[in-house]
Amino acid sequence: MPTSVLRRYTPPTCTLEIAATGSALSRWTDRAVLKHLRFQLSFDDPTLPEDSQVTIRGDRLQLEALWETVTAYVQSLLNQPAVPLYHSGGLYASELYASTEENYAQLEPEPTVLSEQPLPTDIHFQPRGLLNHQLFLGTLANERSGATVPLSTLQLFDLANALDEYHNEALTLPTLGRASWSKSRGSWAGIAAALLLTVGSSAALLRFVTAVSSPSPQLAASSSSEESQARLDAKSSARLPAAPGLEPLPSALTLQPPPPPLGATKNAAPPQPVRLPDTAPINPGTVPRSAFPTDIAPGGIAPRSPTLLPAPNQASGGTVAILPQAPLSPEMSPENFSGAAMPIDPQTANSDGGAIASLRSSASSDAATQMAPPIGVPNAAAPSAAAASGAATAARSTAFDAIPQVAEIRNYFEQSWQPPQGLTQTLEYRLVLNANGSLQRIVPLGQAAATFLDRTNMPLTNEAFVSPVENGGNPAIRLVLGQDGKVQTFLEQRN
Amino acid sequence: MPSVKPSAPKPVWDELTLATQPNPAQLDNIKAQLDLVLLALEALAGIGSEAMLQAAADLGLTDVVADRVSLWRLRQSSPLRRGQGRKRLDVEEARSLVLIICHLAKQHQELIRRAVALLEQMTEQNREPHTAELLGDYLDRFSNTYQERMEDDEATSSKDLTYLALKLLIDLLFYSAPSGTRRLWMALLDRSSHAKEGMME
Repeated sequence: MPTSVLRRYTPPTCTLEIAATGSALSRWTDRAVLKHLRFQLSFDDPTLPEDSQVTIRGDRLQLEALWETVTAYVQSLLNQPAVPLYHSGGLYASELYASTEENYAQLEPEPTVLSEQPLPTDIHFQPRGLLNHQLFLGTLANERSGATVPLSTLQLFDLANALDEYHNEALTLPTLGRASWSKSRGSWAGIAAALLLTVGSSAALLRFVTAVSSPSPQLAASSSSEESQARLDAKSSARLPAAPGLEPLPSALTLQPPPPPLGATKNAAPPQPVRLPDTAPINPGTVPRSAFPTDIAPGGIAPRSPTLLPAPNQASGGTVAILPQAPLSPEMSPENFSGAAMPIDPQTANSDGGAIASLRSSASSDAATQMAPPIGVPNAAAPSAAAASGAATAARSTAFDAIPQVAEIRNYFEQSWQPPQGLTQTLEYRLVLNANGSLQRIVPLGQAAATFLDRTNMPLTNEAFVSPVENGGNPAIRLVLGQDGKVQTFLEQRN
Repeated sequence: MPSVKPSAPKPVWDELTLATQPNPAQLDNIKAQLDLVLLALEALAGIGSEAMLQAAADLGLTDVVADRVSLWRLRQSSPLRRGQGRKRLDVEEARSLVLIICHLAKQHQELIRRAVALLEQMTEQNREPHTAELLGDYLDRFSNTYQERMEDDEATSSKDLTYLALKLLIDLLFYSAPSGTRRLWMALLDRSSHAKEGMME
């Protein structure tokens, strides 16, 4: 069984349970990172007998859609002016909401979020007077739930809170259009970790090539930023098991990694051996290959390494962070959830962003070291020279300035970005360029990014900005503005 | 895995941002709404200026709300209020009031929840809300205080006032959640963006 973790939110009138597979990325963030997320939501209506209680199940996208819908609906209720719309009727008459159609205009979730990823569900609400709400389940409907669930205001309140709580803990990938590294410390640590882990791994591989006679178990040797290292406490880490008869290297320092990419050097602390979480044992027999598309085998190296350049166009590669609580109960196991499975296949993962890159790098470390360390490592230590040098080259070329506009945008914001006082998190934007170098689209990723957009000195769309794009196209570039004034840019997509 | 304690989002000042500076009519609308939400809190939980000042102190907002006089002036800035010489409420003050309101709503969430549960129950049983003691007291206090403080407006029937009080009660429930400040702020901005002079009357 892959590692399973469970989070349960239990406001008085509903229970939201999250099941997922733990990701090795977790150790680089200050939240647990999960994959293959499934959820189960039970509405506990005290007026109904137990066998009539409604339970719905679904996957991460559906859960996100539900959150979006509930949040937008609650806001639309609050946005209603506190004056009666209907003077002569009863207080709770549905006529109060006769102008429901009008209200629906406000029910649409933030366009900045949805424009990018239209959610393929049909979940929506309809008010029934001041105190009742009809939730249309859309794709979440099942035989027992029927198409709709009536919710009282208290139930809606509890549902909104459970979903908010989940949402605040969820670390979703950039492809979902939400701040993926919304905790600032985690953000920089994550980026640096992604870079340096790749460097470290490549260095390790190089070493395996040059010193085949004494293969080292330190395959997953890596560096990390000071920040992330600070959070790697003993509990969350585990030492690499040494291969029998082999002296483990004292530290990855001896590996002499190639020069790290631009931007990473500033944060680079002396490399340390990666210590793996001991709380997430992975049974070698059942780790789905798709979960670790990059496990270290000679053939897997070449396609893996260059993928630090994010190009998110798939939502399915997302990971979600949930605090692990307990192993899955049998009925909560991912297989039993009705939603479609969402394995991260290599294709998808390849097109994902920086976070997935570090996920994959670290996943590979885990896979290599946890699945069968003594045997697997020497195997992995014999890649072809071509593959190894390819990996090393790729590591060097993952400086994110794949096209000049990436650096130009970074320079622009390095000049102009002044974090507003009190900003407590990084702001992330996806900037889509026109071929002439002007901005075609600005997509704030997350609420904070949207609200702070006016403080970022963001150029207007369609006004001269950076140099024209060679060969045309509309590259998408991720802009990360730190509250400490740091600016990072990444190419997400070339066209 | 790192054990991370899920932290509820703090009422962050920076969540409460503006895309554009509200115009005077919008600010008027915001003032009126904030004063009404505070009125509902007062009527339900018996919160007085002492508790509001304490909340301001808890939140480090004494720069904005230092004493009774400044609080009174803030609230007096509602265009619905009787009297002249209203103070202009600026955005920073509006933010402070949002934080104070949500802080207080959170403190009294249990009471608010009980009142809403009671309202649901009464409605389901087709009974008048004011026949339940908690709701009756709330509605009475709300109406009395409203009529005492606000410009006498013939158009405000007791039915309207009851609706207003109950709508505010339900709103308060949502403001008592961790995401309450954002919700209240967005509601203020949204409503004020449709505001025309006198909309709240």
